[in-house]
Amino acid sequence: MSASASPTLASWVVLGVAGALAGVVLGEPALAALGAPFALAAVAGIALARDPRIRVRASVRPERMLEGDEALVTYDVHADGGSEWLELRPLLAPGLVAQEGAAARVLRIAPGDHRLVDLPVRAERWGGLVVGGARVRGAGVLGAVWFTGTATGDAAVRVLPGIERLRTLVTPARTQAAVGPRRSSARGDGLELAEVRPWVPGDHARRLHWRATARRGEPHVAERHPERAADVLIFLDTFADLPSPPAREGALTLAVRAAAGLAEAHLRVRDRVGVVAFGGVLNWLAPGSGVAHALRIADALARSEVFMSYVAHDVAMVPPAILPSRALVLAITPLLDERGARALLDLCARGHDVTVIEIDAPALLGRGRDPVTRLWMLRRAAMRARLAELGATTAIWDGDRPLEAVLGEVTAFRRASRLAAHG
Amino acid sequence: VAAAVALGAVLVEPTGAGVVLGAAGLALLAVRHPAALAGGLAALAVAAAVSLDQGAPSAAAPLWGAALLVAGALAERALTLPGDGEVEIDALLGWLAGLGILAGVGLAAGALVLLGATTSAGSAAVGLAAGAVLAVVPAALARRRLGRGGRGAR
Repeated sequence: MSASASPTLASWVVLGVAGALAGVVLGEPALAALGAPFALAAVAGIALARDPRIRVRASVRPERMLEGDEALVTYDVHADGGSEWLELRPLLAPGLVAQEGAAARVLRIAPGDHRLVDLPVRAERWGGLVVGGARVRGAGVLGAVWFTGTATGDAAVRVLPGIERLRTLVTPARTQAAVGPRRSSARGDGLELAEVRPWVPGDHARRLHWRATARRGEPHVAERHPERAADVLIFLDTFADLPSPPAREGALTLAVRAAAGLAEAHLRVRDRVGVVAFGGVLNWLAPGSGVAHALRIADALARSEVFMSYVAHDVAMVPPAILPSRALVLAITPLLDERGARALLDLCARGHDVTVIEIDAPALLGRGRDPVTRLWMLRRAAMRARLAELGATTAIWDGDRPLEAVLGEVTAFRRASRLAAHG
Repeated sequence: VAAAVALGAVLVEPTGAGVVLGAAGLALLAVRHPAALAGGLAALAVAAAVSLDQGAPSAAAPLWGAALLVAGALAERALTLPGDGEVEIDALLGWLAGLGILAGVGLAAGALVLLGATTSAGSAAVGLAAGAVLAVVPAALARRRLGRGGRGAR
């Protein structure tokens, strides 16, 4: 810890010396008597000052929480030298704020003793945060010399984004081979009736539709839709973010919030959900299901960050196991970086079932319709048109509307497209 | 406390400089800044010195000195206290007790200086006190150094 003079120590020294000098020079003992308490305080303050030798360790609980939740940071303060006046100020990561009255704590600690200090904090923003850092300042009983130091934090806390609970989901166009809850468009053994057709050699007798057979006078069989699992891949474009405007959330925050909501909703209907954060750094999580996988996804999304990079990533870098061929790709992008847009075009060209939820960057910026903005918006519209040409469904989300409404638009559009395709 | 010192100094021996310095000192103490705190203390001390020089009773000097010491310590703590925090009662009481002892000892030191300068009996007492201080301070420093070395050896 580094020692420094308190704001009054210099005054004490100056007034003590000045009083003594003035008393001698002016021959006025009262002036020396006026300065004597200061001189005594300065001498005693320096003589009695001792390094409190403070060590601070911190823990936080819970280690995983939602935006807006509260956590308790517990500092274990050891003072080998003791301190009559010890100020502990937590150094909180951006996104965490101290509760009212908990921005600092002043305590007294005996030599060799240790104290547990609980300071409640509130999570204001999602993300993976390191907490437990603190600035400490100790002083003796006279407070003439301050000993200050900074403890670095090593306790990690994951703040998961608050999500909108979605009921409308984008139905995957294709399902996987594994058994699951979704009705497959294929024909096979299942519960839901697809059609009744004449019997052909090779059809199993159990599939005979007795009512149609009796009515038509010749054997008919019932075709059914099998129940299959679907894979959903959430593709998060993390190449660029927009600075968060006042009273609005940034593009990445909106994207993560949407991704978390979509993941939670698809896992709820027992789809297998994977995540690819496609940006300066490529992160992925293989499709899976269950409660543990939901936590893994939440952790992965909480770690999402924008890393500045000039590396041109390609979709081919994503392992095939992460990107199943029949998966529904739900891409969330602010369309700010050409590389993210190119990756989406690549996915469409490879035949994936792609739905793009575009974060409305111009609305977030709130700029006027100057020529530069209009040109930028035209480029975005052109990119949207290219995606649509390649079969992607696109929808724009500005963060103000519920995501549910956007998904409703997407679902309606996909249904209409399917009907149009079937004539 | 500072206002009491300023008023005392001004009322006992009213001078224009004393009034100006007292008012300036109080105003500076109200500003929450370390430099202003030092300036305010100095201004109040000079106001008291002017009053003493103009004929105020010498017996007031130790009292004013100790009071200014307390005022400065209180202002400094008010300056450095966390705005949105909590002070445990043990720490506050310990500090106040220390401040009280410091003020008392400071008052005694001032009185001793005054006594020593004005009476022959006092000179001997001051000499003894100065000798005690000169003996105690190096002893305290030596004890600290010894203690630090001992812990390091373990």
